[in-house]
Amino acid sequence: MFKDSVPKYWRLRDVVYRLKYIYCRDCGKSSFPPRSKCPYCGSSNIDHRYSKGNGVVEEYTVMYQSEARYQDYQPIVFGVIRLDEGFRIVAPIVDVDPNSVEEGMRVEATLRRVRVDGSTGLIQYGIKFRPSRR
Amino acid sequence: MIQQPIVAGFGAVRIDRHFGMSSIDLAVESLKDLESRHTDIDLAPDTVIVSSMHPEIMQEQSGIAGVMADYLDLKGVRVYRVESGEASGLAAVNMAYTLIRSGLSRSTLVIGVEKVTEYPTSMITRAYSLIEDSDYKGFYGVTPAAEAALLAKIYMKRYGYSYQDLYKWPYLMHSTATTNPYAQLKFRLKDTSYEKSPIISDPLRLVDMFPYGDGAACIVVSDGSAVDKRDAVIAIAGVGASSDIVDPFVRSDPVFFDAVKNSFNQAVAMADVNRDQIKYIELHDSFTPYAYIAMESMGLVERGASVRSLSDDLTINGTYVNLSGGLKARGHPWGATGVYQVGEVFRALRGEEQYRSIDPIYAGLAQNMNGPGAQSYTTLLRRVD
Amino acid sequence: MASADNVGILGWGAYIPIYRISSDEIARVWGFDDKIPDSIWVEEKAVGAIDEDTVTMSWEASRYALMRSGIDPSEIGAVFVGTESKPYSVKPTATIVAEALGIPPKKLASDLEFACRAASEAIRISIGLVKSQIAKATLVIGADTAQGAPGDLLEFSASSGAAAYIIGNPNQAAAVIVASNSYITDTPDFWRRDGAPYPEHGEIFTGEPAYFHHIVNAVNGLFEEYGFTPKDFDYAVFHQPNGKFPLQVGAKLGFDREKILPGIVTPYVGNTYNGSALLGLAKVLDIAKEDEWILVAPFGSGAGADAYAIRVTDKIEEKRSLAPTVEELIKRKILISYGEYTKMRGKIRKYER
Repeated sequence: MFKDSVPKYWRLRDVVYRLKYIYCRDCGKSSFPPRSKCPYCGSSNIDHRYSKGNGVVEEYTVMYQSEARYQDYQPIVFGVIRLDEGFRIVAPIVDVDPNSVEEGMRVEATLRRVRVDGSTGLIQYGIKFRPSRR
Repeated sequence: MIQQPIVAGFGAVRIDRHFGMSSIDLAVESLKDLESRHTDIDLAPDTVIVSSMHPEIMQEQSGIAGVMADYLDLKGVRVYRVESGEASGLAAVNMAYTLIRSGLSRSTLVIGVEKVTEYPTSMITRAYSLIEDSDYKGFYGVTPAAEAALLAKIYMKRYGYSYQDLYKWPYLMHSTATTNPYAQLKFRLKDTSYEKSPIISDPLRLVDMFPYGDGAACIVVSDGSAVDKRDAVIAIAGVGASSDIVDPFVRSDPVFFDAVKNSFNQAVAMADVNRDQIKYIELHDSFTPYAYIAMESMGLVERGASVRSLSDDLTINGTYVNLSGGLKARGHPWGATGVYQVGEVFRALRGEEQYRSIDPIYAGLAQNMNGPGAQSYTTLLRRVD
Repeated sequence: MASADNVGILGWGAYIPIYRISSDEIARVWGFDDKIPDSIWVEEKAVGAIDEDTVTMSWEASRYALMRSGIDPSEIGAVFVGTESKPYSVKPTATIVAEALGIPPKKLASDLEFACRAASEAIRISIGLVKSQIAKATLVIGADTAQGAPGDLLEFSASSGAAAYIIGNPNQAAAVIVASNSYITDTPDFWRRDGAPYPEHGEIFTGEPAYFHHIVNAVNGLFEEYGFTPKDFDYAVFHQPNGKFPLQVGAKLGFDREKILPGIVTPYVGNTYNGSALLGLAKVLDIAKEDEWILVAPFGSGAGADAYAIRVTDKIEEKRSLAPTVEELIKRKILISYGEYTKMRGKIRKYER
């Protein structure tokens, strides 16, 4: 298959580095990833904001069969995380024994390598989560 | 004059790891099967629709419909490719229905085809994962299996089921697929087979996921000019298609699929049949929890009740489901699946071998979706008596 | 006294990956007597996870430094990453870190390389930028995923970690850099050729002519120029290639062990290279009181050393609790096997498929 796209990763940098999300000024709900209209009420009256990266694990799974570019990170814990700003994200939880993850666990953002394009392509970073330190 | 679309014939190859065959070879074989099943009909398609999810990645082929028509020795026909992820097959059948209804086509050949086993598992998983929102879950490497696992946990917790409760589905799918000539997996599972099945994404195991396999299936949809008159004539009485927010965790209920409900209701409303005349349903069970959620979303049973309501003879409140073995055991060659499903409903209505155990039925339908109900399509068939 | 620096440390931040491998585990795999790690006083070393590198650890330490600084990222006029483990040979680490921290484009940003003291050089550059008002504040990061060849003695110590400092207005500072000095020569005690995965080193040659000679001269130069003596300082922090060298160089300079031990980190987390002395300083800032004085002397092979005289202000208390302390980061750990360590640090040769 092709190499990973450079412009695609570059375009996404605010989203993947800083969890840019949208806040709807009409219905008051937040959602991720950013889009032009609120997925809850359809309003275009939205703000772009950045999350502080703190949230709580609502559900999680431990994945043992990943696609080619993520195999080095196996097993991968994916959490459904509700951020304090109100939106949900499905993202990896790292620095944790998969057996000790539980619902209601507080997590915080950590910048990590998300995928690496071979030995010569881009190293793509993004926000993952880990158990809160404090 | 509005035409009534007829399913004139069906053919397919057994889903398998067909290392020796390309997507074109598979299509040719499926057409041969159609011709051998329906010996005295003149297909004469004026249109070819190919449904395929990943010909670019798996076969390094764009414009696959044109290449395929050429290799099938069809010249001067309209060619289209329809792609809607793993629901491409029924999306293509919907399009064929529309072309016939409109009178633009008199006979349309729909070929669903997918080469899946062209690469190692990790690469196949990468290709399959492209159905996720690429800029978000795709970037994080969230696979469809991981997403299904999260939804399974939510479903189990909300309705109080254990993993062992859910295991009923793959167990029954394997059991019924053993007699289906088109099925990929033809072995039975034991009550405890899951214990030795590797976890793909907790709690889902290999037994909870469709097998990777190649396949091609075709149907001819006509205005009646091409039809196999030796047996019951089967019409497409209704179609439905509906989309939803792609991310289930943004929807109001992640474990109820509105797109499935809406596309089902559309097809039933369009067809001139009573709901209780629909006695057979082929549903999209790529992962165990989706079978249960699909049954509930179509209204076969109230929310959360499908696991305990499903009988061992694969009936749920009087409706048979997936006697073919479903995506789980018959197989799921992505863009080809919807065409296989229509073929199974076609065979059920004609009372063919896999379906002789059940009483003759008047109407049945197929439901095919992309991801966890992101888009869903329904095709309702009935006998023309 | 010569012209003082008088530039502030507005915030400090440390980052130590959660994973540790014990020296005993490394000794067991390579067949060393376990007295060997004891002799250089390295008990455990921090191991960056498989998805961590100089970019990610720089981000972590910088987030904590920004929290303590109380300033907005838009006030940062320069970002420097001192490292000898750049994820890209060509493409700055600093731009990625700055973008991820939300630091706007109007800034300087670059990676500096001078073995373990590149980040220290960035602090001296920052003193110039802040005093000249080219930058209102700067972000200085020392971060490394240090490489040690499997089976090399260096493997006991070469570890992963980062420290970050916001340098700016002394009036808002937790501590003030009062004076500084540098001492640099061409001394090839440790190097890594372009494209080589692991460094080579002169082993015992890294000691006397390199580490000791340069630190002693940098510190004595500072003392002579500004009239300090060891008695003026409550703490002394030195570069820490192992646990023993900082105690030995301190003794040569006339510092008691009690002044050196509070800033010692390497026995517990290994040598984080550009993080080493700066993590030691962060550990001291975590406990220091108003009007206490800290001597800091980083060293880098190749070779050079710096010496800083730092005075703690009354703002230290309020800033301290705004981010995790070094001690907290040291205590948070998961011990791993040599096998897990080799996977995490890319020491297993994989071929692209």
